[in-house]
Amino acid sequence: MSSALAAPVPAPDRRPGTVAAVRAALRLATAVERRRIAAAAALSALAGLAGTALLALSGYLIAHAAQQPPVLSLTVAIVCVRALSLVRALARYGERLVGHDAVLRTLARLRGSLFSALLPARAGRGRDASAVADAVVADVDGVQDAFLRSVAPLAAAVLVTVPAAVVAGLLLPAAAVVVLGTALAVGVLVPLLAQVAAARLGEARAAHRTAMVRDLAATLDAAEELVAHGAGDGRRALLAAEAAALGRAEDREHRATVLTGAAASALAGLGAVAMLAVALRAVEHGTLDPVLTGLLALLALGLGEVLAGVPAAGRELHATADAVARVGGLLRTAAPATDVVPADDAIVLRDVSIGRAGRTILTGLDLTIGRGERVALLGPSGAGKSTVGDLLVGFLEPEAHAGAATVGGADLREVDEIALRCLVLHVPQEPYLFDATLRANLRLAAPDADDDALRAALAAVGAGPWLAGLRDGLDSALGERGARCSGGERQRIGLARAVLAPQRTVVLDEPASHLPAADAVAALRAVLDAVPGRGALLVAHRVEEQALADRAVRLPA
Amino acid sequence: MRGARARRDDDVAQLLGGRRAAAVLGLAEAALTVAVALLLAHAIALGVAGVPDPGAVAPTLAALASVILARAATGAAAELAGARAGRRAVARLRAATVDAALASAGSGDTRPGALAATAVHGADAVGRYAGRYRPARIVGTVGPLLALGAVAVVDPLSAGLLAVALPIGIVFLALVGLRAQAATDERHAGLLLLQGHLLDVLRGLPVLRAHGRARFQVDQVRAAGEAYRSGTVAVLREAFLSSFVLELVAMLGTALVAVACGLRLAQGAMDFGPAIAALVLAPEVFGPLRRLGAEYHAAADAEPVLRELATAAARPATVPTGRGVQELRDPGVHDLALRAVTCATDDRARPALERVDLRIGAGRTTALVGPSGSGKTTLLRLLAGLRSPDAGSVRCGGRPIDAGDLAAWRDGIAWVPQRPTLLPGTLRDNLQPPASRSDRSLTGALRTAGLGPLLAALPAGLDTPMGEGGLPLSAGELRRLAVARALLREPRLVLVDEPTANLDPDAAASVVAALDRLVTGRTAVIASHDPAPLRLAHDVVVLEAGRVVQQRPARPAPPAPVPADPPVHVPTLPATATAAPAIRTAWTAGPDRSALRGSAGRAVVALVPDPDPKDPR
Repeated sequence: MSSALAAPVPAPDRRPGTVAAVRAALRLATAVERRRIAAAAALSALAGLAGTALLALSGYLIAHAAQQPPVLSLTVAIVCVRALSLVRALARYGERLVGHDAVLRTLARLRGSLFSALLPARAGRGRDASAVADAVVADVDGVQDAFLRSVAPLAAAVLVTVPAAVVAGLLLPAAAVVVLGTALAVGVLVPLLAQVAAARLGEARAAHRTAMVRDLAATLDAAEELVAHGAGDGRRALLAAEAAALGRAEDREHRATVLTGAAASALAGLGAVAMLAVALRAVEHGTLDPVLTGLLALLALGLGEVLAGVPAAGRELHATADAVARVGGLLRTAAPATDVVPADDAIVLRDVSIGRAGRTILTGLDLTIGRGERVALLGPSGAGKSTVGDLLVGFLEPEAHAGAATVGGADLREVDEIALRCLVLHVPQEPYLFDATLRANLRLAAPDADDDALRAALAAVGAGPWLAGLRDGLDSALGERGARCSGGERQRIGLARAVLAPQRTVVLDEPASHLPAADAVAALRAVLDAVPGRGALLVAHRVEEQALADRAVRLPA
Repeated sequence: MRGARARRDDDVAQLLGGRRAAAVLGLAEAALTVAVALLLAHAIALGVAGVPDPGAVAPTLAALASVILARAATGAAAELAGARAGRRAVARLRAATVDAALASAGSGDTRPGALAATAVHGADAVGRYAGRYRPARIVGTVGPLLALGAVAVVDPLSAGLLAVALPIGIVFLALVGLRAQAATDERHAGLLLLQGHLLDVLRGLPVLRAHGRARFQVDQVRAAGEAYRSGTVAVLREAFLSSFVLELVAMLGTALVAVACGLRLAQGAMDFGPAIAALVLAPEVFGPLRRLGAEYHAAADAEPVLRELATAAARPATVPTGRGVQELRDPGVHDLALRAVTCATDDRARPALERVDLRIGAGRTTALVGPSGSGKTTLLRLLAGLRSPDAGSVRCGGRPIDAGDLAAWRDGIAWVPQRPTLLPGTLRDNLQPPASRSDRSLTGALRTAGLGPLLAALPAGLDTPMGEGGLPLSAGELRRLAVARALLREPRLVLVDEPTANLDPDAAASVVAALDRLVTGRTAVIASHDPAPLRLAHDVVVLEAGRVVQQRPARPAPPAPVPADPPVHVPTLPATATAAPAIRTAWTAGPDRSALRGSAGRAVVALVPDPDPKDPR
């Protein structure tokens, strides 16, 4: 089983080329979604082509008209010019709409798939889970930018350059060379040169920013202590020094970005100048109809507008490449399902070692919990009591080299975790509360429970008076991470979930530590009695709570 | 709407400065754009004439090339200078935010993480505003008129046609603005909800998994994304419509000029030169407006950043500095007193403290007891000089402390907060040692605070990184670290806020043991609604709803205060863990707590606070 999330997938050392980066981004989309993105790119190309053709054709129209042909012969060109204006405007509108629709569709599916891919991973709890969550959300935004701001414009640039070169080549072979030369300079050379600088400078800026956010947040958070200890000025000086360094890093990175853009637009303009030089020379030598001078010059000008966006699109592509790689990596690490299913809830640990993040925490652990047996786990702080609990619900895996760890005869290293958690419920010290109603937060333990059952569960853990005092009752919103609840209220909600939940065995990891002793004992008893013959591993400090167990096991310090 | 936008633009302009430089660069860019078009037309005319004169071609192309380079350079200069000014403005607001946060420490609840992220990453949005939107706005005002003027010179009829189309374009640009704003606002709010939802379910994944509800959430996550998509696309369909019409007007305006010129050329009523010039210039009449429309979102993104930072930077100061007109007495030897002190709060009807009279004995430990919300923390803040009373006075040795220099007063105190903060940095940094403290005294303080075993287990010792991603500390260890921090200050007054809240009994016992060594022989005030720390107290003050309801000596009293040197080097207890069960048993066994101290014999003295002989009253 995968442990990909313990450390987020690292970005590859070697940066992928543009084509590889585009391919990596497109691999995140399904075939249907790729077709939608392709449609957006095609519309973008159509808009670019129409704009370029419009300029070239009106140049031809004017020059041809100057020869004073019969007005009728101008009509075709006039109709084309008008049609192209309409096409360009419509294509631009369609591109933006189709592009946004396609990307948002893809993201909606990706979020679900990512979430689904994260389900079986043995992510840590608390802060670890939080950091992974933050990273995933930021990466999904990166994927959006990769599609919208880089893949589509890059595709459009290619789709406009090729026909422009063909048309120019048919009229004057040297003109095709100018078109391709401009495309090469603006679309390949400038982005390549810029990329070398941008990657390094971008990383430097990002590192400075991360440090600045961290130190700034800590300062704002600790303001009172800092003032109380007269440390405010020192902190201010530290932040000012960091801000100066960040400012320099930002300036350097932005300078590289702006100069790249300026170089691209200057080279695109110079492409038009080169085209004029070639065309005028050909006219001089009689190899080009003078009427076509305007067409070629304005063709180069129109193409330049499309090409000038390539460096920015390339930069965006590479800036998002890491996010794309991480998201792709997560989607590929989906753990294979196993058919190792526990037969019952008898737990046997023999000479087991457990580690967290590469560090061994417990060795030589022996613990047996029979069906329906209630065992208290004792030991000083840091002895690894919570670690044992995490092991039993599959949040941690036993180290491979020694011992045996089974639940209902199924090895904990191979067991199907969904099946395991249908048998064993983890009740944590700090239960996570979702930004939703009290009802929703309780019903995740028992989706079919009605309001009476929810009220009964709350009453059983001593939260009846609290519920009665809530204006909106079960409809009360609990706030972000349950911000509107005190520590004791959170624990009561966590315990009420355990009362509602059907699991035969519960791992109680100090779930009542913030409650007064008498309340804690009553609430824990309610949890234990909620399911007939419920077994338990009980981690608790208070003697009265420990007394709820049939026997006690002590972990060495 | 328009008025609000103009006002916002004015505010931002003031913040950014450099208005004149931006205007000059914008004007130059608009003029250079017209020059490019005219030179290009001239070069094309040379070719169409059929017999290009090599002597005329080279200078024209050279001039065209230099003007193109100059325009690119001008644009880059405007963007560089503007964006830099924008980022500097954010940096200034950031510094002002830190100042305001320090000057209003302890008042009001903020979301430090989110504010810090805005204050750093918001520089991008403001930089785009100042570097791209603002120049685009100047060029968007000047450029169309300049281009129109040039067309009027070469061909008045084309100028007339464009002059009709331009106002239509401007109307639709305004609509782009309004629509883009609505779209941005709605999109932003929706996206935040969506991200919030994903973040919420990801953070709560362990709970979802434990209850087997995770699979169900996959569909929920997808459905939320799908709902966001359909809502956003519906808004965008309208928002993009106005830019579609703007583009259409620009394109048709250009096509109209091309056709009008073409027909007149065919009839021989016009020369080629002016016709091609009008044709090349026509898109430049609308171009600046289209670019402005495309940059509009930059303005919409920058506004909330600036608003949030300006609000944070303008928080009123609440931490007093003191009048500095009187020398302050030493709280280590002079009694503290509150005289008829009243403190209001912003969010509650009743004041946090109401006409409180209180005397705190020098060299003694006073416990503040009472339910949460009874005013304990406010009282500690008053004693620390972190806020001023709204009425009454806080005195030391009879002198109001705000008559002195409160910064100097705070130098003499140590504050052990309920939730000590870890600053990113090393263990040494987090001890915030006053200058010239040797590593030996740092390790001594850590040992005294009961962190000796932890320190011994750290290979990097005092250089171990702390904070996010660094060494994880339990809640009890964190509080003992704050105790070590306090020991190093050798304070004259120790203020401790809820030292054992939310700790299990073992951890609470070790914190109390560390506190014991901190407060012995010092003036100390410990606020607690948990009984565990009370064994350290000589005096107990009971607060209820902002009033002192009882003030009495602790029963039975702990050992008498021994005026001694600060016990930084007191040896550690052999094992905190062995003491812990005894304390737990004692608490749960009943009211007889003499066993706790094991030194009941010493607890005879000081049942009544000694009047301070040096107090002039």
